[in-house]
Amino acid sequence: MVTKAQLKAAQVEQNSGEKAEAAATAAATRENYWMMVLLYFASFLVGLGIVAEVAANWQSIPNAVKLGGTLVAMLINSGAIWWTMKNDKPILKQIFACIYAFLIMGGIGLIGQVYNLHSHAANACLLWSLISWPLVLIAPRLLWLWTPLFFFGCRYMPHLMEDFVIDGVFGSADASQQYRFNNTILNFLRGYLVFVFILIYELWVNFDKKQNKTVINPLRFYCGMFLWNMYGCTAYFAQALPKLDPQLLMPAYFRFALPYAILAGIIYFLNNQTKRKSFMPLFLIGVLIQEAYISLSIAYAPHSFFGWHEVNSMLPLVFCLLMAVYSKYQKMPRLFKLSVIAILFWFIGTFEDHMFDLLPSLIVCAVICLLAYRSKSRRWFNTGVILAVIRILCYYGDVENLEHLGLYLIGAGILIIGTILLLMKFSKVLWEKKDEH
Amino acid sequence: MNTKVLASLLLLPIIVLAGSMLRLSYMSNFEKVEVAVQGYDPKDFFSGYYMYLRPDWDKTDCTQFADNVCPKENFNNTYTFYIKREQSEKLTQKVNAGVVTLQFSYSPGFEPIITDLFVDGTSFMEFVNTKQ
Repeated sequence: MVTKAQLKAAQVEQNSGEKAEAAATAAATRENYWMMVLLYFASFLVGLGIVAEVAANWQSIPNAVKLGGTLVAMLINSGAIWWTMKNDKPILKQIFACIYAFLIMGGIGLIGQVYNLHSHAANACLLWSLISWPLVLIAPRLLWLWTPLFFFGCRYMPHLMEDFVIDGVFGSADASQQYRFNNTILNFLRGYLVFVFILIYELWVNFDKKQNKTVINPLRFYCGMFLWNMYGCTAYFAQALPKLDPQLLMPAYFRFALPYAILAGIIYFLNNQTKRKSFMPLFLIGVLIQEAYISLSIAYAPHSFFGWHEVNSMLPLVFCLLMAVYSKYQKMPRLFKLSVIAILFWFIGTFEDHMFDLLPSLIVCAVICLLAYRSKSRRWFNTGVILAVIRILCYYGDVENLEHLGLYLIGAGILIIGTILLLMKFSKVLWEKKDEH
Repeated sequence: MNTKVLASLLLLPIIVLAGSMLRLSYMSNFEKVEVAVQGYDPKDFFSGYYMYLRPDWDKTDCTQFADNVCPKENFNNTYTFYIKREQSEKLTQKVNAGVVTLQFSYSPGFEPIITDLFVDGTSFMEFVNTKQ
């Protein structure tokens, strides 16, 4: 006769066995985060290469073949994704999803090229984000690509400001005013869609217990970036200054400041309720500083010391430094690391494409890798590698010849994918040896 | 979400793009009209090289349209015509010389679609092949 205690013991044993099995499976399929970042980067390169090859405009190939070929390539690629889903190959699935995303973009570009369509790139991005959203369900990390293109597609860029503020707020006396007015309303609605998007995100973060970081991280980052992008929108005025009366610009500020203030207020209230540390106050500070700065620039426009390029270059640095100080003060280590990485990117991004400038960047990367290896920090080690790869690719990229650039990007992407897959295979050996020492 | 549903969603971009292709190819088969143009040559990464062309209604033969009136309001202010990089310089010279026209597939109520570019009355592909 089996006693209750024996039954319970057997159940516990079975449970722990299942747990161990699940843990083993999870460990076997666990992704190395930074390697995945690199893999995505490499897949982007392959995708960008495809876009560049399309842009090279192969006139010798008949249009029907080009268009048909693109559809067939997309069909094969979606078949490959389906195969990886069926056979449980998570890494390959994400690589194919990434390449598919760019194939769609290439297809849109090709149609525009074949039929000589005259359209703003933002429209292509909007179409892309509307038809490629299923890929985000398959590979959520594609949100890192999807979100900015959606924002761009919504034209939350200086173009919007041109249509909305200059034509919409101040009006235009020419015959096309009616058209511009309609266009302005459309853009206005698109703009508000983005605000709604941010609000939904914040509500979700506040009330969702099971936070999916793969989804939340890119959303959080780009929502912040969008708010920060208001810098760019307002900085647009700095460029348009000579043509405009500064006093007339103030109502436009209020139009943008009002929804922002309402949104910030709601979020502040919710954060207080849930006692959550939010990144929003930082962006509020940033926007306020920007508003003050641009207002001053407008006031002193004719004799302004700073120009458009300085605004573009200095604001990211100011923002990154603010983010670093804020995160340190709030004890948010991840956000702090992110700000440091952002500062590094800024630092490297300011170099020009000369060998003299390439070397210091690589030395910086080498120092990061060395320090990381000594302190056994795999993340920082891989960060150094990623930065070095990006910097070298920036140096060798030939943007003048699109055919060469396309092949170069595809080749570089495939090379990096291969290297990463090898690294993933042998990284255990590398770091275990280090641990032994 | 179900794997089969997800997999079938992957066909969405293919269906949309194939639909666009069919619609545009239908719109390319209307009556053809030629419009004189002027412009210049830019490029960008996503599109490649193209000529940025502006209809020049003063030089356009309006007798090809109904009532001998050029329907300017049905056309955009600017158009793009995609070319290869090495062709841009020669074509720019021709555009500046004022001998380039754009051929459109045109039907009132539809957006005009570019079907060809003519240099001195020669189709673009012929122009490219003879000059290279």
